[in-house]
Amino acid sequence: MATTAVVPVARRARREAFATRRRRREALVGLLYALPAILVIVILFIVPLILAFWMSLNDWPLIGTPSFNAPANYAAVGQNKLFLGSILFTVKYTVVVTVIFVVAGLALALLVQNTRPGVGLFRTAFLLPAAVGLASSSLLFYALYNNDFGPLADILRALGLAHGPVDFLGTPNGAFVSTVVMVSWRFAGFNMIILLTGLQAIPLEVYEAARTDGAGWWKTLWHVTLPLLKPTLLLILILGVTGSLLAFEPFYVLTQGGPSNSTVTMVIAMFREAFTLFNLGHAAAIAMVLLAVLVAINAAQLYFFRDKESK
Amino acid sequence: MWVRAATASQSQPLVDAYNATHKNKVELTVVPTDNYLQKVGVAAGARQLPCLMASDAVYMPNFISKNLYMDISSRVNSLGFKNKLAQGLMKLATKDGKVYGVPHSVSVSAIFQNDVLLKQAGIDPSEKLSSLQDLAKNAAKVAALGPDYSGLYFTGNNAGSISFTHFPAIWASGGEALSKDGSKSLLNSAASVKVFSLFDQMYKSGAIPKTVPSESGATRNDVFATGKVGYMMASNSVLQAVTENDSLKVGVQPIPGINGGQSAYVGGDDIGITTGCKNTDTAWDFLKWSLSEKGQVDVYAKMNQLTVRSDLASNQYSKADARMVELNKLVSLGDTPYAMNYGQTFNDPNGPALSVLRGALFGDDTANALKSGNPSINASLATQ
Repeated sequence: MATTAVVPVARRARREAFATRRRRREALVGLLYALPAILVIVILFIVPLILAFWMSLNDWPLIGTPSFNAPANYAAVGQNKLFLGSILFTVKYTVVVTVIFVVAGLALALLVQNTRPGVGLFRTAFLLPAAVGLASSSLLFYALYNNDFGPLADILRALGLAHGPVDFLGTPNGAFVSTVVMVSWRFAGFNMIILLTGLQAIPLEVYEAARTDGAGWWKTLWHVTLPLLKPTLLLILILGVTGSLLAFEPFYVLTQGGPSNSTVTMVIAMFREAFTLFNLGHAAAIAMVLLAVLVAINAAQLYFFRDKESK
Repeated sequence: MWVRAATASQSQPLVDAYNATHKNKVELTVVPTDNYLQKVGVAAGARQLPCLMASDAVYMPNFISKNLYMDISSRVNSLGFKNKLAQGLMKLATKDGKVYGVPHSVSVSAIFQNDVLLKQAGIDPSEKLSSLQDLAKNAAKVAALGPDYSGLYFTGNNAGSISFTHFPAIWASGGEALSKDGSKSLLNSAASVKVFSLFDQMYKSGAIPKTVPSESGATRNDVFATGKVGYMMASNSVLQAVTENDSLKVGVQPIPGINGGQSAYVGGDDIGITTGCKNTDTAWDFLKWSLSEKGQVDVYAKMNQLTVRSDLASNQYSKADARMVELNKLVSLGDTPYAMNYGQTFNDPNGPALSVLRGALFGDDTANALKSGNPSINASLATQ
């Protein structure tokens, strides 16, 4: 009896050892497959992040040896008038642009949702600006907005919408609206395509059921489409909010933060610390503060948009 | 060798002429003017600065304090014409008695006028402007020719340019724009308020067109080239950049003060050898040659450019053009302010000066704009 009991135990142990070895081998192979991606993340993200954090704790000259001065750089963030002034402007820009991204993206997506003759042309046309780099599209609009040589002022005058010189970027409000228009043009199509994939993932049966229950277009949109689009909308919100809080190129190219520093974003203020004033430690501290705020905002977005049951 | 795009039209022929006659070759990289500071910062951090680096002279004190340039005092002192080098630019390249650079190009501010248009407005173009009031009166006459015509044009959306064209009016009025050591702004002084108030009145009356506040400098010469601008406050680059035609003949006038006088801002670029340079002797060979008669007269003066040496200012080429004679006079008459933080205060579009100066030039209350804005300029000038 005793021998018959020992054999299965030993066999089981051998089987388990074999399974463990296989699991380890699989894990190792998996790690090897992931290694290139890990290396890229470590070299391009983790190492610069650690370096920037270390920089934020030091007085870091352009040439010479850094000296530890924590928390002076973080204290300087609180004294930086340009940066403090840029916070409110960046938040205003983020709110306006994110709302436009969601509304315009959704409107365009609903417009080209169903396959009809010619709809492909519109989808392509709407998406096309997304293929232009952000700096390039800023330069394109910089030329369009030019008071002396840009065509937009002439067009507005021809349509009777403006008289005399149209100063697109010369006043604080003009510069803000002109930049928002450019950014909306650049990103509306991109958001449309993301929302379109979300819309197409909603099963037709759900719409049929809503129709059977007598729901109209608005009710269907409100009670069926939007709730089922929640994960996609969350993605747009996170991309929109993060991108807008880190806005740099459009303002750097179109307004350089002007007129009279009325369109300075937080990143432009950080850029000035680093590359105009060469206060690398101060700039790194601003970067760390921004990182912490962004992580907190993204976490809050994920939390509030989670399904109620999993909260 | 690096230069900013604004200077490239001078630097390229200079480098070409040197390379054509020397075994050592200089490789010139032209960096967009607006990104020069950033490019220098990144390269310095990565220890990748070129051997020879030119810079807008206003940034020199800051670059020197950041140890970007090598001390070349003994080499510069060995030059027989050391005292003839543009003194304002030498001052900006010197710290604690040590010399870190030499002038690379000189620019001077003046009033450029379209003689054809002035005649059309009933103004004798050969008559010297006796004061800023005189300028305002004439500019109003030109603007009265019609809505397409501008009396006075200048770069109104760049504080570096505004200081270049408007500080001389303060100096000519007997005032100062900055304290001697460059640590304090005197823009709230009586002379300064009078000067800026006059320009503000010209803007309100239409003698200065409504497009000036948005002019960042990029299209300034093109606007003048249309022939529909009476006067333009700018640098001597206008003479090279603007082509004359039947409706545009360019004349030069000094910038006057409120009740007369005249002055000019002598700016330009300095060039030095960077601290990490391994070929110091070769780099110096180029610098020395660039300051020689061959570089200054055969290259610069031949192209209608100003020389950086006062002893070569009067040469066969400059003598042939009365306007160059006038500009050369202004170089010896003019001033160059010194401030450690000049660039970040005035030239930087996000610096504090731009909004203050724009408020003074185009706002409702000039005196208040200068008074309330002065502390922010002072704070920036005093930052260590």
